[in-house]
Amino acid sequence: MFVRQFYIANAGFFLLVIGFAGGFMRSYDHIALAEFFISTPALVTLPITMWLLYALMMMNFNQETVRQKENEFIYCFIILPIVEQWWMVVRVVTIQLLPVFLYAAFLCLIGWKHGLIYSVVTIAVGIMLVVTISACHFRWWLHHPNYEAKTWLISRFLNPRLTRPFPLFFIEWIVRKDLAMLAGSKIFSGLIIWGTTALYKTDTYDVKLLSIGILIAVTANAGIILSVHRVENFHLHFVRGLPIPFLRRVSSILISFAVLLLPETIILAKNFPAELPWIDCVNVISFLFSIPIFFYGILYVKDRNQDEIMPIVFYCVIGWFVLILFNAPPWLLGIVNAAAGIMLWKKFYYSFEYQTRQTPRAKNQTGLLSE
Amino acid sequence: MVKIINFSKRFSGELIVDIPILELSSGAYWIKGDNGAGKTTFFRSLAGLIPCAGDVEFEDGVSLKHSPIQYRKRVAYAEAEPLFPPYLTSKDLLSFVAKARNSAPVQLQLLTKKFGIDQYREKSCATYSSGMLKKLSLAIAFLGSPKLIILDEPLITLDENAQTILTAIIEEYIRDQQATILLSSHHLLENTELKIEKSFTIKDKILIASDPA
Repeated sequence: MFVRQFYIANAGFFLLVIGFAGGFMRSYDHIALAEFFISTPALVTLPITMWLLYALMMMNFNQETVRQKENEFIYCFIILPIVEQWWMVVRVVTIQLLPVFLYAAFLCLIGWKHGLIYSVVTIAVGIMLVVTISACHFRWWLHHPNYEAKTWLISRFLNPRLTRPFPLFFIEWIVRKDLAMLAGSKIFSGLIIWGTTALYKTDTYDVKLLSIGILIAVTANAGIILSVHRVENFHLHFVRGLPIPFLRRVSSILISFAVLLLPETIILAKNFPAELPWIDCVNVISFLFSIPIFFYGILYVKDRNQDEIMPIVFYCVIGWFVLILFNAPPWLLGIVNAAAGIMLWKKFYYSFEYQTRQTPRAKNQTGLLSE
Repeated sequence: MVKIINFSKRFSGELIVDIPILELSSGAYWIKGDNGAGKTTFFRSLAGLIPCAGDVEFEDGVSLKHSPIQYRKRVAYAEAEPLFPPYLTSKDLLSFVAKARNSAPVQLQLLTKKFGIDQYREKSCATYSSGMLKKLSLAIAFLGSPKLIILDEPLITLDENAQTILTAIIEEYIRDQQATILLSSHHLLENTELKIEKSFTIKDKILIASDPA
């Protein structure tokens, strides 16, 4: 329940790390990086900070899992003998922290080889710290599963002054419940767009390169698009029963997308290559917004979970990539994508049925009581 | 008058409920059935929340399949165990639904006052008790001018006072708007002041008229 589901729920994250570490970095890059980390005890704090962030992600998962209604049976944990409680808690966090232990062991090995005892000791202390914090946090939540939900200070300030507009329902959910994914996607897509526009300073390229950059950047937002779809059809499913015209439904979601894609749009507009005509900026932005619309339409054709939708995303990206290489103008791709997405969305909206056959991550994020 | 024609609902090919024809005029109807009989599925299908086979039609021809927006203007649904995003306040939810259902501000104020949720309007749903969430869900269901109001287990988690208020509101909607109210409840509705027109039981995937209430 805690270990297997944790790894399944964060499979995307682990795949990204494996892809980055195995795809971009060669073995001597890993060794060089490890030697840099362990060169002084101060620098060792960098990987330890990363491990603490990993532990935070893990603690959040454990906390949400404990608070789920279907897991109420676990409340009887407190009647177990203390020793057994700690044994169980430490065992769970240890297995969840396995990737951390493996990298720590690698760092220790390199440190030992170079005789950097202080760095090795710092790593050991860091690992003990991570395990202790994670275990104590986990045990605390097992003892306080019904911990009273606190309202954020900002909510206490805003609630009397603001009536949330409908598009904010989605944005707020993603910011509150999918913050790690949101931040990761934005950092990745922002870097891709920034990096692509920077290439124009080194050589002469046409708009194709920028279009490919946009394509990769927006595809990194696939998780956010899935999240918006889940919020609309699971957490706000009552909205389907309201007499809202299709255009108003679509515009609400499009406003949410516009806000969620604002960082990419700003980065693109700010760093838009001077060599390209300004109209290309409008064209690539239209292409940028058309991709989530197309995927959103696809999501209404048939209920699919994350694992089932990813191959479709992959083939679409390949298709767009080829079309861009064959000089398909971004504005045309934008119009076709948006039109196809909205058509599918309209056609299948009322016949679509969202099953709770979701990915474990999505299930875990149905934590309905925590604010 | 609401007419349910050739209605059936399946999950993964398995038949859940099958209703060849059912006509309901104004009044309160009690839908009974064991746990898992398909009451909620039936209700959610009628409310347009999940797709189903067949159609549901009002006497002027407005139907679930052919006029989804008009149909949804006339149908409202309150869930048995309502859940709303925890960060939203009842003000956010009620304002949004009131706008969608063209409900007058005075109706919104009246309903929130009757259900006693007006003083919690600015608090987020995370701080609500299950009874408060239920009241919010019921207030949402009565917004606008629905002709078919579907209340799934409306009495659970409600205190006695709120039950009396709910009964009064149901009677008011039947009297003033000729509304059809569908209720499911494991409570004995005979013991309430609500006049039940007819009761039905979902058994073996079909709806059968049960003993008069």
